[in-house]
Amino acid sequence: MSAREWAPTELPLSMKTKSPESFLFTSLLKLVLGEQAAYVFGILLDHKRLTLPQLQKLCKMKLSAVKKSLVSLLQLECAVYFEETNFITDKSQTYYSSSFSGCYKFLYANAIINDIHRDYGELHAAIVQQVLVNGHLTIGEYLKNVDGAARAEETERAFSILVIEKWLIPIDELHFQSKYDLFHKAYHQQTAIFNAENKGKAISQAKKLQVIKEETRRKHQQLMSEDKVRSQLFQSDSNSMFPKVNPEIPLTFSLNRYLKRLRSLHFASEARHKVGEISSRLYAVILNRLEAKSAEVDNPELRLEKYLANVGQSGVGLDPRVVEQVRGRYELKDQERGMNITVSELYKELLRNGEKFGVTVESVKNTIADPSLEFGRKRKNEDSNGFPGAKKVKIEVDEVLERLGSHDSDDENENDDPDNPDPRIMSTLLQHLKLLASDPKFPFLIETDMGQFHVPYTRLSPILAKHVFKQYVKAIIGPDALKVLNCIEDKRLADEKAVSKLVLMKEASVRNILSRLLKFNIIELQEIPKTQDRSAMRSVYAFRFRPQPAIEMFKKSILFNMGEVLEKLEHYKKQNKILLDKVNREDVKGREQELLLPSELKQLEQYYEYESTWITKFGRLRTAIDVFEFLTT
Amino acid sequence: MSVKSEESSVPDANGSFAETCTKLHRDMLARGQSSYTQEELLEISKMDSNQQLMKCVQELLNRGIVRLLESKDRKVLFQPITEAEAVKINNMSSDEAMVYSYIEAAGREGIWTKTIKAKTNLHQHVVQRCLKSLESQSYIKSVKSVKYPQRKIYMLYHLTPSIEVTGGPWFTDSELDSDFIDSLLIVIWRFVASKSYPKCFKKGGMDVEQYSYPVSNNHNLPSLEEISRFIGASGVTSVELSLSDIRSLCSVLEYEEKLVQVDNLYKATWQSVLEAGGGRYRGVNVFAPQHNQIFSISDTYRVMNPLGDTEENKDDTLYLDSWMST
Repeated sequence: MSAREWAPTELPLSMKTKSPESFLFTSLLKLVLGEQAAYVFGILLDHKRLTLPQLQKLCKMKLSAVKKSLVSLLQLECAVYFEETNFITDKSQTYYSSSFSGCYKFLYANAIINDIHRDYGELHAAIVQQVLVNGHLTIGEYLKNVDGAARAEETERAFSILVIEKWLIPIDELHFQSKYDLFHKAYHQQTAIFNAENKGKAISQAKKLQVIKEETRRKHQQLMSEDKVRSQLFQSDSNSMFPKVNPEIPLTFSLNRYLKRLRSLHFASEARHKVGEISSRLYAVILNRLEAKSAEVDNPELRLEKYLANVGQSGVGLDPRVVEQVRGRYELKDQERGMNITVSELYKELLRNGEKFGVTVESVKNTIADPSLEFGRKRKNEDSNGFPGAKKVKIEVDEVLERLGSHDSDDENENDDPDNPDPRIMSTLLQHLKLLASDPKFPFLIETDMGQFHVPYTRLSPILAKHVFKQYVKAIIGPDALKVLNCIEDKRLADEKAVSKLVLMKEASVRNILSRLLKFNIIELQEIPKTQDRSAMRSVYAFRFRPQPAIEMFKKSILFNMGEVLEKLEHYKKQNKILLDKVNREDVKGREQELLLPSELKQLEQYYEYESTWITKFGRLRTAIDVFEFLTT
Repeated sequence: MSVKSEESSVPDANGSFAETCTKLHRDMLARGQSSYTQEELLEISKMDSNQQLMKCVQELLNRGIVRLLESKDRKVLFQPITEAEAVKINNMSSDEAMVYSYIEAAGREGIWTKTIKAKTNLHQHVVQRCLKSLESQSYIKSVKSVKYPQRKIYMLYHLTPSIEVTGGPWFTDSELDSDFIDSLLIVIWRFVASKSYPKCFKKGGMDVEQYSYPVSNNHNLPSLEEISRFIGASGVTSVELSLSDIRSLCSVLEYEEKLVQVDNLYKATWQSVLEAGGGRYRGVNVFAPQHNQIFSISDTYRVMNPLGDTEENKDDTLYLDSWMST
């Protein structure tokens, strides 16, 4: 090996400047796995696909160190492999590529553990934590460290629940392999089979490619849906009260399952801002019920279409019509049997899980106004032809209190019987469902048949992403920027003068906003020449808004900001290294008040405050990534 | 159309030629049309031949009380001018009259000085001198155009500039009246919000966590006409606003995401109510941390303080463009 061997103690600057993903994920992996693994990941990310010798040559590290890093990366799903066999020489070679799945698991680790802890309990959270730390583990391995039969059974039960709820999934032989390479292998195989079967036949290139693509699609889907492990996942144990998971099968955490949770959280959060507090909590109850069965956030069919669009010599990228077709199929899946919800089902769900989401039958009461009462009172007030005096206000409050009181007295006899619900509650619940389904531009629910509702996951996700993006524009650039952006979107293509006329703002202000929107690539500019010689002086510039590239750019900026947060935290840690080393000493731990100087205690307090502030900022930035990375398609 | 001037003085058999001409001029003015074709004049004058009519018209042209125009289909038109106007023009120099005629032709739209120069083919100094003279005699006035604020536009003194020139109700002295627009926007939004959500601005907060109208109440939401009626009746402005003006204001509110259209009726967005401090539950501190909620940028009004761009907090700030400027 002629390359100079060394081990990086600091990540090179290029890891930061290459791409926001490289900056964030290498910074993150540096914290989890150390500089060497982060560096290897960065090199893999840069070169897409490398063999071990190639990787070692580029890393300029010892082969053993590269191998160690690679094993860790593979184990934690930050890298994938593919074994390629050369059919002529019959030699096989293993290629390694980077993968973001593991990185995202680390990125969301604390949120995942918190969510599992809140929903299931400490034991479940501890299991998930162990799975995240190790990448994957079997129940057998985990039980080795558990003392006592009762505790072991409890742990097995926890594993079963996590597997049934699909938080933990079994690992099969394809799990660590590059999906794109697997697809490509299937494509080459199908090309070879087609050529052998149709030797000497005159078939056009287009027809040939179409047949091969169709066959490849079928084969790849077959390969991905093959589930050799799932049949052996549960053991038949007649003595057990619950289905036991096979202790030999390695289990890993399902990022896709967590993404469904994130999607539910974002949908419910938006309903809070668009419809109201109680409606959003009821919506959260509905989403919780449908979550596990809902469509994957990362659409596998669309991913396959993207692969297929890039094969062949005349590949022109993914046809938008194909995307629409795939989305159409998924929209139909959203309303399949079992994905619908009725008022009575919501009522039962409310009794079962309502409290977890902060809503009870009691809190739903009187949340829908009676228009006849409201307008009746207003008319009465108007008729009196006077300004609102103290007496009138009193009457209004009294009236509401009276109404609330009368309901309360009626409700004393109720015991929230799931089989005999109060018709008023059912009517109120139906009104909440209708409110959630009332805006066709932002459908939280869709009413298919009378009283049957479903969550349009596929339709709502991109709508939400665009809306959230606009809210970021409003928060960062200002409410006027949102006004201008909406105007441009409405008019599709509009020049500065037209925009200022429509938004009723001064041209100078509009110009200022437009330049800021242009700077962040939120809007695009088009030159409209007015003269034949295309004189720049006389040209008019029109603007348009295309959400997809704008969101992509914004997402990258946020990813970079997240990297900056990690960088800042590390920098601050270095600044306080002496103090932190002292605090971490065995003899000081727990006795900081006695052994630290007052100035050191103050410094420590400042350090923890700084850390918690920036971790909060990191968490907030991450919520933008939830939406812009996973909910845009 | 070429009629010799000597022939015009020949007396008519039924009365003096001059009287006939005067009568024709009076009839033309009385009809109120701005211009007439040859056929129309024949009808008005009840003359038998074109030749007779032309003699008469030539006389009126000589007196300066009829002007020749050309229609779009290149037909000759005759425009009557009042006696007083004719006197005014007759007192002007030929250059002034020419400049005046173009300004008059521009009507309420007005005419740019450069256009006058191009059309009259006069030197700039001459045009300036004419404009100055006409302006001093209060025959013409200069107006500011909203469309072209840099241009000097002239129109006849007694005319009111068109909406294109003044910019309509949104402009005061050719300046966009932002305060006026903003006040109207607030009034409209508040009116629609009160119709969209009951008790959302109740003092001290609402008695329940949510109090919404059912979807069936959507037909009670205000229409454009109702908003217009409300603005008219409220006396918030003395300026007369048309339906299209109210529509423009509603569109702005839609762009601000404060209003949405529901079946051609307007509904306020719940987010806008929350941002304005409405829709709060009695006794609940909206600024308190909500640990059970995922962070949403829509909560900005509640959870974030605007950050000043001072040197002090430079290190504590993340900049969205830091990747772009790397």
